[in-house]
Amino acid sequence: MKKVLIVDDASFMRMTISMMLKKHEFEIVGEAENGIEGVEKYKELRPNIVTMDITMPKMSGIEALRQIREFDPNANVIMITAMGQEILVREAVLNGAKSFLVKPFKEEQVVQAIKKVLAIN
Amino acid sequence: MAGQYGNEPMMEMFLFETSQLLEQLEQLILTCEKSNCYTEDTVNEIFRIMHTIKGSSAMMMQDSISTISHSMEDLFYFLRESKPQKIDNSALSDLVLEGVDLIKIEVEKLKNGDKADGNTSELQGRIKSLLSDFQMSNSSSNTVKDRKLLVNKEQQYYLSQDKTRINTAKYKNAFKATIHFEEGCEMENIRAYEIVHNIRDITDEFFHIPERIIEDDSCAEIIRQEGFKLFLRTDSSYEELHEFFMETLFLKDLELVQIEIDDYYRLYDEKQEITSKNISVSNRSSGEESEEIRETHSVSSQQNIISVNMTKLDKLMDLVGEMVIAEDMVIQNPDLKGMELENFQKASRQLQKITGEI
Repeated sequence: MKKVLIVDDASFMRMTISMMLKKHEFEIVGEAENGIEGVEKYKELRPNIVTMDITMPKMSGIEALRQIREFDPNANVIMITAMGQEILVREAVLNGAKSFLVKPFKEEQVVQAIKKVLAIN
Repeated sequence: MAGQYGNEPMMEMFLFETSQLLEQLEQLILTCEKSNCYTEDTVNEIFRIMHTIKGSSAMMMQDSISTISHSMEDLFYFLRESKPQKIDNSALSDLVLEGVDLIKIEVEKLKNGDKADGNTSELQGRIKSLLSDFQMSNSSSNTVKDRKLLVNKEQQYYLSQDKTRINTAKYKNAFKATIHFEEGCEMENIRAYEIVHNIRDITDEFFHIPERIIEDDSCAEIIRQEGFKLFLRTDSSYEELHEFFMETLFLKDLELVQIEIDDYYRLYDEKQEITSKNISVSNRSSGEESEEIRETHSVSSQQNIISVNMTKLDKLMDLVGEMVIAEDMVIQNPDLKGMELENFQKASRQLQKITGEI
């Protein structure tokens, strides 16, 4: 079973993504509510993939992405974003994000994105 | 509590978290009202709360909540990015509290199992109007007027320029790829940018239509309608290229054809001509005919112009040069010869990609 870490400051979003993925045989190994926690949990849990919100308190998703990729250049990180954040998404792509999902997204979109990223890498 | 609101745990969590955030937001506004000041931290926090509510309500398809939180997010985005000096704090607090009240009513409806169908257009209009007042009264300062302008301003430094005929013998093959993304994947222009970013692993000679995928928001719609067309020259085979494109996420349809090298340049010239014509038409309609001749000569002249201190620019150029040399010294270091460093090589490719863009 592939291991997923969900990093999002909104409990609702963590729960939604978790529920979506559990139906498709992914194991949610951890959740984090800000970038700092996200980086720490990545190092501790070594998931196969991370879903990373962009706008978070304490440390943004972009900075967390940078730190995770610094620690593990092969890290698979998919950014979770919303309309209006095009600049940040572009920055995330430049910093090694494997893809991005725009809210509101559907279950099949998040599953497809994760499966494809894992298949490629 | 499970199932209390009909839509099971997701709805429950959404209502619980949104209510908590609204309470937090009210406290922040009341504190600001007392001190008659919105600190940078407060503005950031309010922006984040509105952003969270917007995203969660959009996921739950609650349009009324999503629309109002989006408008308030835009307002605080302006305050966060522009840091305007002249702000009517009282008007701002009143309007945000009205927004909070409206969302609370919608949340209550959902808690009671009713539809959240409140009319948001009137309040949305007033939020927009307050935003434009703020923009007008702060337009003389060195601030960003709105999010779209900020997009343009920031992105003008990252323009991906088309490759011209640097060396016609450099690559043996030429291809045209037309890519359609799946409906509803959103930000098609940024998805196209992802492809452009990754194609640099394969070639440095390519151009695309639409061209200004980052600078021009309307490109997302063009790509949605007509697809993203990428023309490239490479030594890669059709199969290799096909494999590359098939890795694209949310790819709905790919049309990849090998073209003659002459056709590649003919299409390039045609694209340049169309781009130049479009710029001329656009300028004529805005009453700037005098600029037409100059602008038709170069696509890049259409971009915004900024003043840069020459000494700083020279220093920047030197630093970039040194960085590229240092990069080569690291990547081509003889000490690494014969070593199998998979992670290092991947990181090196990423580094080369980024420095290549610089």
